[in-house]
Amino acid sequence: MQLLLARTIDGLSNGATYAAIALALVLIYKATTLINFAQGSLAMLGGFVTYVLAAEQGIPIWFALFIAMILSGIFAAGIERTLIRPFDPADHLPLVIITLGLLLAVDSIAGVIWRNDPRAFPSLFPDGNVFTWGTTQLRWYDVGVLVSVLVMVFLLELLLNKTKIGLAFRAVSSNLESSRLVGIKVGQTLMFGWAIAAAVGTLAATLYISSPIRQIEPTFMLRVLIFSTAAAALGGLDSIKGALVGGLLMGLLSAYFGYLSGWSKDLSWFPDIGNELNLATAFVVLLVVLLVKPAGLFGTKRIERV
Amino acid sequence: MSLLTVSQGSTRHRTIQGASMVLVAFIAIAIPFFFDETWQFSPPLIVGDFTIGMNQILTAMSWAVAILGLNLLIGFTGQISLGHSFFVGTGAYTTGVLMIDYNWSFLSTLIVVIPSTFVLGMIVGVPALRIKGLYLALVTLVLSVIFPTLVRLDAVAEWGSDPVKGTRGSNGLNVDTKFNPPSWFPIDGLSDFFQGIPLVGSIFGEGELGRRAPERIWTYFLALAILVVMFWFARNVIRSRVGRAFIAIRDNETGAAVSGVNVPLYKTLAFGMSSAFAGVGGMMYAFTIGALAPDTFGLNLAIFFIVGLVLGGVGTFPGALIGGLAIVLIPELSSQWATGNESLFGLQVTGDRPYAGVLLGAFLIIVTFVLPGGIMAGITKIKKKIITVTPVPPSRVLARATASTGDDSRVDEFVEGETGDGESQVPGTAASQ
Repeated sequence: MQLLLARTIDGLSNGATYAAIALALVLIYKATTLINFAQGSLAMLGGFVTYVLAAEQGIPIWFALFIAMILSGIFAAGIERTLIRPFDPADHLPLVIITLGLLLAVDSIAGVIWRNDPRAFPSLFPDGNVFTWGTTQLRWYDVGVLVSVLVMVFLLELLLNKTKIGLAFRAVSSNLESSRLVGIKVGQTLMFGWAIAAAVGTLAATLYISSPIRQIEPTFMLRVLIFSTAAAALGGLDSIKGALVGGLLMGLLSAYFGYLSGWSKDLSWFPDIGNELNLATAFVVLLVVLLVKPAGLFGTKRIERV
Repeated sequence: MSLLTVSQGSTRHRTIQGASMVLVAFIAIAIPFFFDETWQFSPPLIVGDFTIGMNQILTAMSWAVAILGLNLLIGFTGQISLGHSFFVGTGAYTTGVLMIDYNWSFLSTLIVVIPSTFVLGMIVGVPALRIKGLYLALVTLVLSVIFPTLVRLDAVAEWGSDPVKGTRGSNGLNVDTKFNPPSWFPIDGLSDFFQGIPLVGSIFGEGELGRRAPERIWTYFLALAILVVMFWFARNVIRSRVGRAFIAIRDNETGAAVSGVNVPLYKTLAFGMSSAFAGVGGMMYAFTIGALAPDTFGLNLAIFFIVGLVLGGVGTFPGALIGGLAIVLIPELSSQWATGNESLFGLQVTGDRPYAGVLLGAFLIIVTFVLPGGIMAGITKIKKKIITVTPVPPSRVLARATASTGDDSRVDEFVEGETGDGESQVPGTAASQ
């Protein structure tokens, strides 16, 4: 029981970071129906910028995170302007190729600069536990991550629903052609979308990596990206609420998978699958969702006209 | 304006085609004789101190077959897959385990590799019926990420006892890659022949071949034979009814369905076939390179295949070969360059092939912008400057086809224009001439 509770806490705090990256994917998908495969890499880069500012330059960590979010936003807006906008948004292959090229390039540039040795990341939240019950501990980190992600979603909802640029963004996501006709600057709005997504990604990466049990290295976001894409598909690729729920569900699912695989070790008839296959839960979730309910839990159904 | 104008199918055209085929065959046979006894070769044309190893050529050939499979899927059927390293890995490990633990010969492993990767591909292809474009890329992306983990699972890593069989997890497999050439194969004769060529003979080295040379040269020819068969097969598939169905689906799925193409069937078939090609590529890697490690077949390889495909040219056959060479040689040559230049812009550069990803990623983006058709499109452009092939008017084609009953090969050549082969011009231009 204690173990189950510990797993639940783990699942929720991991799930919150999956939700944040899923949110970044959703923001771009909503506006352009493009899945940005480089989202994880951009977030990783943002995490490293925070690391450099906080650990190497000695800037207070929350302020460093803020600067990193702004920098990654500018960087992503630049990418949108130079690499994405020249292509026809309806033709997916060149865009997928561009984002894959970005993934490859950004990951290996980070590998060249920071090399592949893990380093300790300064903590965003106080050390220690909120409470301890036997082996179950609720760390300040877990609470901090959950609260930060919820606050971020709240702020994002405010931004999208109460500001003019948010309105423009929603208009573009709903119908690109019509919003261009009513005078919305579509290009700038999409740039804004990319910038916000990258900032959210940087926040997510920093939250994820500031866990006391994790260390920063150039490949740390790959795992998160896999879970987050599954989470985004589960929640519905164009729903912000879906990203949040999907992320938390994915976190819980993978945590319980670990719980089950530990439990199944005692069963002689059950093959020992081990905890390494955790990533496979993402695969199974993706397949099941896309086969059974392609729109996801909260996504809008797309009706195709022939 | 081009230097030369020939009519399609004329004797002159045939002669040029034949001559270029002989040239390609000559180069293909000459390649292993470039290498010295340590299996290194320094290309004389490139500035700087670069060497290419035989292993890189063999790897490039294996990846070329995998990219060819990816091409069937992306280039000809219009479905995106980021999971081909999964099928390559499956093929490689199947061959490895069968050769090491069950003493199968390398060629007989194909009996298992082809059906198993084909079926696996079909299984992935079935959801692909409902999942389109980006979603498919997502699902297959996860597939290539989990492959290294799958190989390390205890259930697969070791089974049976005395001796233990399996993929050996993180330890990897080491397949014996020594193949003795049969007595009828004239290796010494070929070596003497290439060395005896005036002017260029010296780059083939001098004197006797090294002690291990015949084995390695024979391995190359075995791989070459499989490569040629796979390319020939792929070309024929695309020219057949099946290939036309693939292309129809790519260009307009609804249109294809309306024209009587069984879309679900052909889509899954394309996925299965493409995966089987990838499996054969993996098998080639296993028996030519021999060292199999789980992390070789991860997401990076899958993206490298995409890079190779785009760089070489989506929807072209020679493009797969160029792509295979590119994704092997760019990392290798850049790492040789990096070992001489450890610090760049004040950064200490260490690690295995540090620039590989940067360069391949950058090339991928640049090519998509500058040369969307890949290197093959560039070559075709240059070729058009040199030689123009004027197609035969359709009326004459039909007349010929009906005159010689049953032989409709002329008509087929016209369809070729749509497959991006670049050989003939678009059929529409024939009418205007």
